[in-house]
Amino acid sequence: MGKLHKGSLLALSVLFCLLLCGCQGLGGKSPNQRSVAQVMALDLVPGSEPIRLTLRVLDEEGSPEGPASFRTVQAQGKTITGALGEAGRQLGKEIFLRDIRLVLLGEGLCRKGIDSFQNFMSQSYQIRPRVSVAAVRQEAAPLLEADDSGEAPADSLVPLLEWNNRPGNPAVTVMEAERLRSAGEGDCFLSLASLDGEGKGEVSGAAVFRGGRLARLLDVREAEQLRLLAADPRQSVVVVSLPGGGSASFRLTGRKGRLHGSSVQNIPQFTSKFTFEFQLLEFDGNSEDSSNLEELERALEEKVKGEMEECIRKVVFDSGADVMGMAVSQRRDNAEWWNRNRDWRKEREGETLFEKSVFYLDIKCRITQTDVSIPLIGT
Amino acid sequence: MSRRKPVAWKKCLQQRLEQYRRESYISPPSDVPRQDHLKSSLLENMIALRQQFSNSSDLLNRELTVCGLKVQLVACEGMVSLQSLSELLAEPLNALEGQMSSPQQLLDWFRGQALLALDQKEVCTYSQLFQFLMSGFAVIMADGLDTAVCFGLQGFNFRSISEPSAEVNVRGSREGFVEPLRINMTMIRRRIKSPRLKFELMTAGSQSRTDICLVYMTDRVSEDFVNQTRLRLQQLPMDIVLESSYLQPFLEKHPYSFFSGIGTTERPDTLCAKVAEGRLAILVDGTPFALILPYLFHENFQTVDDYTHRPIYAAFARVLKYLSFYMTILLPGLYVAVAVHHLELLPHALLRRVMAAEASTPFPLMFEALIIQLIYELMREAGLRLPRPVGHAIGIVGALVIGDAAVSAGLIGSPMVLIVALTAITSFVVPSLYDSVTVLKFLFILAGGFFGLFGVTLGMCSLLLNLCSVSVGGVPATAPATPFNPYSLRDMFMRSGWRFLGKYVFHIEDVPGSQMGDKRLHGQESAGEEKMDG
Amino acid sequence: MVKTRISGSQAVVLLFLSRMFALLTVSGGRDGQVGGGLAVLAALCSFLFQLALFLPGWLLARRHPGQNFAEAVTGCLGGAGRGVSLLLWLLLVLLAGMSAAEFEHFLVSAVYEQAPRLLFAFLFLAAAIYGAWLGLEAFGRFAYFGFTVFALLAVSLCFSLAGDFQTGELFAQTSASPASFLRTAWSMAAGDIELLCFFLLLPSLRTGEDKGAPAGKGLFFAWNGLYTLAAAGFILLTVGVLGGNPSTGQSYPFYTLACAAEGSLLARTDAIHMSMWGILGLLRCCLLLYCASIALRCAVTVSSRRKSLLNWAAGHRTAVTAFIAFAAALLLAGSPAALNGLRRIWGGGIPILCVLALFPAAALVAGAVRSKKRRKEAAGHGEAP
Repeated sequence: MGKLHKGSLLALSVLFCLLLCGCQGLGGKSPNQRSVAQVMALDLVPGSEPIRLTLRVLDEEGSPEGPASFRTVQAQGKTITGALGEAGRQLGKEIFLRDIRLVLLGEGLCRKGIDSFQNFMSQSYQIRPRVSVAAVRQEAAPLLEADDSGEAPADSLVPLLEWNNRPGNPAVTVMEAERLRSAGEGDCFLSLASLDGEGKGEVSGAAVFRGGRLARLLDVREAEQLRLLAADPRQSVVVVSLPGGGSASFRLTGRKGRLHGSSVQNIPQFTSKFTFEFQLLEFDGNSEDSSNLEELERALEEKVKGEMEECIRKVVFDSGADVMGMAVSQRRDNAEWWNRNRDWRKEREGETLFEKSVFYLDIKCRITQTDVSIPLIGT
Repeated sequence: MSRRKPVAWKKCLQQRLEQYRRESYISPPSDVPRQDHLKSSLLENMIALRQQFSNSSDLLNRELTVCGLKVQLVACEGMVSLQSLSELLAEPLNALEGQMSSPQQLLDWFRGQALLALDQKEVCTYSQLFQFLMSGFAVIMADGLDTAVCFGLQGFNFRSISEPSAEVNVRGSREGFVEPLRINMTMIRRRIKSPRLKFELMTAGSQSRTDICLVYMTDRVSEDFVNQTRLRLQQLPMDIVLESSYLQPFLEKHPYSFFSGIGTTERPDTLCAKVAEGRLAILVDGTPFALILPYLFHENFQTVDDYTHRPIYAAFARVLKYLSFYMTILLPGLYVAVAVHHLELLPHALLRRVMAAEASTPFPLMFEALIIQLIYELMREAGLRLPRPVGHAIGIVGALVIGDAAVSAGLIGSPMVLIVALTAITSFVVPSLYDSVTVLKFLFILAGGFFGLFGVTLGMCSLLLNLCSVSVGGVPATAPATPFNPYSLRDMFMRSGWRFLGKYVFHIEDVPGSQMGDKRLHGQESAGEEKMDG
Repeated sequence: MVKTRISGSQAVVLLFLSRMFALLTVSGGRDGQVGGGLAVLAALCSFLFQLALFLPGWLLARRHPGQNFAEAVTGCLGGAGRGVSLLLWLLLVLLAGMSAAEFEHFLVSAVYEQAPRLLFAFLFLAAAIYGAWLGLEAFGRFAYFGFTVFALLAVSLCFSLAGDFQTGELFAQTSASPASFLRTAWSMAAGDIELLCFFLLLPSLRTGEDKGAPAGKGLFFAWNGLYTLAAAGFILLTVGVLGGNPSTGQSYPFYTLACAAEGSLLARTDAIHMSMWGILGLLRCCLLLYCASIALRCAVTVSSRRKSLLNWAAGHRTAVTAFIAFAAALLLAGSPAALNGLRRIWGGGIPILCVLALFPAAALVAGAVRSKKRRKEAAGHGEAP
C-alpha cells in the first residue's frame, strides 16, 4: 500500500504540474492553432529576399458541410523556409504543410535552379512523399489569385496534375529521387501549367530540367511526345493516319521494356526495347482495307517511333536533359564504363560523351483493347 | 561518549513511524471467550450467550422441558425456517415420552435415534456455537450437558435464482449464482456429477467469519496451487469479508496491475467449465460472484454464446470484442495524438472536417477529450445510482448536454462527440474489463495529447509489458498467445468447431510458460522472482 | 531463489528483434563497402563471422554449465573478472543509451521538431527500465507481440513495394574487391551485442537440457539464421527499390521504404513504421538494461556491512543503470558527432572482438591453469605420507 501511495502521489503531482503549465509535451498544436496549406507557389523576384511564396490556405471558419473556402497569403524571404516563417507570422498560426497537394514553380525560379526546392522537399518530413509539382510560364502567383467566387486557377490544376509514380517529377517519389541521386543525375521534367483564356488553370506543355535548371519549355504536342517517352498514359493520345485513308486514335495503356545501356569504344550506346500497349479509341477509316490489326499496329509503330526520335533529338540532345534515365541504365547495365565515365557530361574536345550517345529504338506496338465495334482482322 | 552510526537516525525514524501506525490502529474487541468451553449449567451458558450477544434483539430462545430435562432452544430471528423447526424439531421433541435419566441420554437420542435434520452438528465451544447460530442453525442446549446440538434448519430469505446481471447470453443457461453459498454449491454439483469434484469449506474474516468454499477437481488441479491458495486464505488479515473482491488482492502477485490474473463469474456453467480445466474456484457466502484462478487475459473476451453459436459467427464475435477493446482504450488517444501532432496522417477530406470542427473550440483538444469523457463517466455513474423512475432522465439530459448544447455552443467539436459515443458503446462489449479500460482511456488521452503517437506507442508497450508480467499460480495471463501455443489458434481469436475442440482437453497446467505444479514452487511464490534489484 | 526462465523460442524472438532494431537504424556514409547484389551476399556471409564470434563464448559456457558469461569470467579471472563484468555493464548501458539516442535523433529531426530531447530520452528509457524491472519473462512474452507487428509490417511492405522492385539494380555494381566484401560482411556481424546478451541469459533459458541436449546451440542457429535471412531480404528490398549502394545511400533506408509504400487504407505508412521501430527499440533497451543488471550483480556483491558507493550502486541497480543510460542517451543525442563516432567505433568491431573473443579466451586459459593447479595440489596431497 505504501508503494502505491507514494508512486501514485508522485504521478499525480507530475501530471498536475504538467497540466498547470499547459505543457504541450512534444510541441504539438491544436488544429485551431494551425493553418492548412493546399497549394504553394514559388517565384523568384528581384531584391534582397528573392523567394516569393504564395500559399492558398484552408479557411477554417467555413462550415465543414459546405464547399471548402480558401484564402491566399503571400510572403517573401531569402529562402523558402524564411518565406514560410514570414507567412506564418502574417497568419498568426503555424502553417501546416503536410497536406499540400500542388506546388507551382515560377519560370524565374526554374531557370535559376530548383536545387533548393528539391532539398526542401526531400528533407522535409512535412511534405507527403507524393505531391504534384508543376512549372509555370512566367509567374506562378497569379494562378493562386481567387476570383469573386473564391475559385483560383490552381484549384482546377490539382486534379489534372495528381499522378502516381511518374518519372521525372523531382518529388514524385522518394524512390525515384534516390535512384537519381545515386546515378548522380538531377534531370527531370515537369508539367507546365498556365492560365487559359477563361482564367482557369490548364496544362499547356512540359518543362525540361537539366541539372536542376530549366532547359527547355515544350508545347502541348512536344509534351505528349515526352509523355510517350516516359510512358505516362494520361493525355497520351496518338492519332494515326491510316494508309488507306482516314485516321484512328489510340490511348497508351502501358509500356513494357526498358532502356539498356552499353558502350562501344567508350561511346555510350542505348537500346530501347519497348512494347507499347494501346487502346483503340476511335476509328475513322475504310473498313475493308484498314481494319487489319497488323496494319494498324504497323502504322502505330511508325508514328510512335517517329515521335520518339523527334522527342529524343529535341529534348535529350538539344536540351541535354537525361529524362529517359540514360545515366541510370548505364549505371545498372554497364557499371564498369559508368565508374570510369561518371563525368560524361563534361566537355572533352568541344563535345561531351553524352552528346555522342547512340540510340537504337526497337519499338513494338500492340493494340490490346478496343471499344470500337469494327471488324478488326488479325492474322 | 560514543558516536552514533551515520544511518541510525533513519532507522529510528522508521521505528517511530511503525509504532505510530500500530498505536493508531485500534484492534476490534476480542471475542471473549472465543475458545471457552461450554458449561454444564444451562443457566450459565445462557447468561454467557446473552452477554456475548450484548442482549441483541435478534437472539431468540425458548426454554422447554423435554422428558423432565430443561432444554433451551436458541436461534437467530429470521434465520430458521419455522415450518421445519416445527415439523422436524418441535413435534418430535414434544412427542418424546418418558423420562430421560440423564442429559446424556437425550444427547444419545439426538445422535442415534432421531433424524431431526440432515445437517446436525455438535459443538463444545462458544465460538463454534456462534458460528452455527449465525449461519441459521437452531441450537439445543440441555442442562447438565456441556455440548450443544445444532440443527441445519435454515429458512432465511434469499434472492431466487435468476439470470446473471453482468453476464447475459442469448443461448444457454439462465441460471446465475445467488448469495447463499450452499445453493451455489448445489448448482455446481448438478453440472459436474463427478466424485472428483471437491468442495472445501473454510472461513475468512476474523469478525465476519464468512463461509468460503474452494471448488476444484482433485484429478485435474495442481495440489501445490491448492495448498498455496489455502494457506493464503488462512492467513488473510481481514476483519470483514463481504465480497469475493476482498480476497482478490491477497491471491495475486500484482494487485495494482491494470489486469488481473483472477477472474469472476456469476454463472455456474462458466465456473464448471473452468474448474474442469484444472482451475480453482472460490465461492464466498453473501455474493453471487465467484472467483476463478488462474484466469487468462483472453478469457475476458469469451462468453457462453461463443460456444453455443456456430464457429464462424463465434469467430466474428471474438474479433469484434478484441476490436472493441482496442478501440475503447486507443481511439480517443489516437484521435488526440493525430489531431495535435500528426495531422498529416489524415486524408484530405477528413482533415478539412476536423479543422473546421475544431476551429472555434476554446479548449485544447486534449482538454476537450478529457472533459467530455469525464462528463460521460459522471453521467454513467449517476445513471447507475439513480432510482429507476428518474434514471431515464439521464439519457435525455446527456443527449442534450453533450450531443446538442455543447456542440452548438462551440465548446466541443462534433468529431469528439462521435469518438466519445463510439468509445462508450465499445467499452460495454467487454464488461469484465470495463474498470481497466475506463482508466486506460484517460491515460492514453494524456499520452496522445502530450506525446503524440510516440506516447501512445510507448503507453501501449508499457501496458502490454504490464499484462505480460501478470501471472497467478505460475500461469502467465497472456497464455496461450505468448508464450505461444497452437491452442491459441483453436480457441482464442476464433473458436474451432466442437468436433475439433472436443478432441483435445485443455489443462491450465499444460499452458506453455506455466510453472504450476513445479516442485520448486512448493510453498513459494511463482514465476518472475529474479528482479533487477536486491 | 526461484530463477526467471523463458523458453527458447521467446529468446530467439527477443534477440532477433533486438538485432533488427540495429538494422533499421543503419545510416549511410560508410565508405569502402559493397553495394548492389554483393551487399546481399555479404549479409549472408556475415553469418560465418557471427559463428566465429559465438564459438569462444560457447566454449566457456560449456565449461561452466549453469553459469552466465559474467559469472564464468568472474569465476575464472577472480578480481580481474569483476572488472570485466563492470566493463560489460558499462558497455551494455552505453549501448542502451545509444539505441535511445539514435531513435530520438531521428524523431526529433524528422517528426517532432519542436520537442525537447530530454523528454524523449526520459520517456523512452523510463518505459525500458520499467520493462526490465518487470523481469525477463515479461518482456520475453512481449517480444511475441513485437514479432507479430514486425512480421505483418514486413509482409505488407514487401507487397506494397513489389511493383517498384527493379532486378537490374542488383547487378549495378559488380566489381568489388575481396577486401571490401569482407569488410562489409564483418561490419554487418560486428554490431552483434545480442551474442553477449545470449551468453548472459543462458542459464535463464528453458532449453530442454533435461533431455540431454546442449543448451543454446540450436538457439544460436535459429536466431542468427533468422536474422541473416531477414537482413539479406531487407538489403535486397532496399537495393531493388531504392537502388544503388545501401551503405552510402541515405540514412534510415527502411523508413524511406515505409514512406514510399502506400497502403490502400492509409495514405502514409511511415507512422506505423515509427511505432514498430519504437517497439523494437524498447525491446532492445529492455534486454540491454536487464543484461546490464546481471553483469553488475556479478561485478559487485551487495554487502550490508560495507558502506561504499559501489555497494550502494549494486543494491540499487535499477536506479543506477537507469541514470547512466539516461545520461548517455542525452549526451549522444545532443551531439551527432559523438553519436557517429561511437557508431563507427562499435561498427568497427574492436569492442565486440574484445568482449566475445578476448575475454572468453582469457577466462578459458585462466580456468585451465587454475584447474591444472588444483589437480596438482590434489595429487600432491594424495601422495603425501
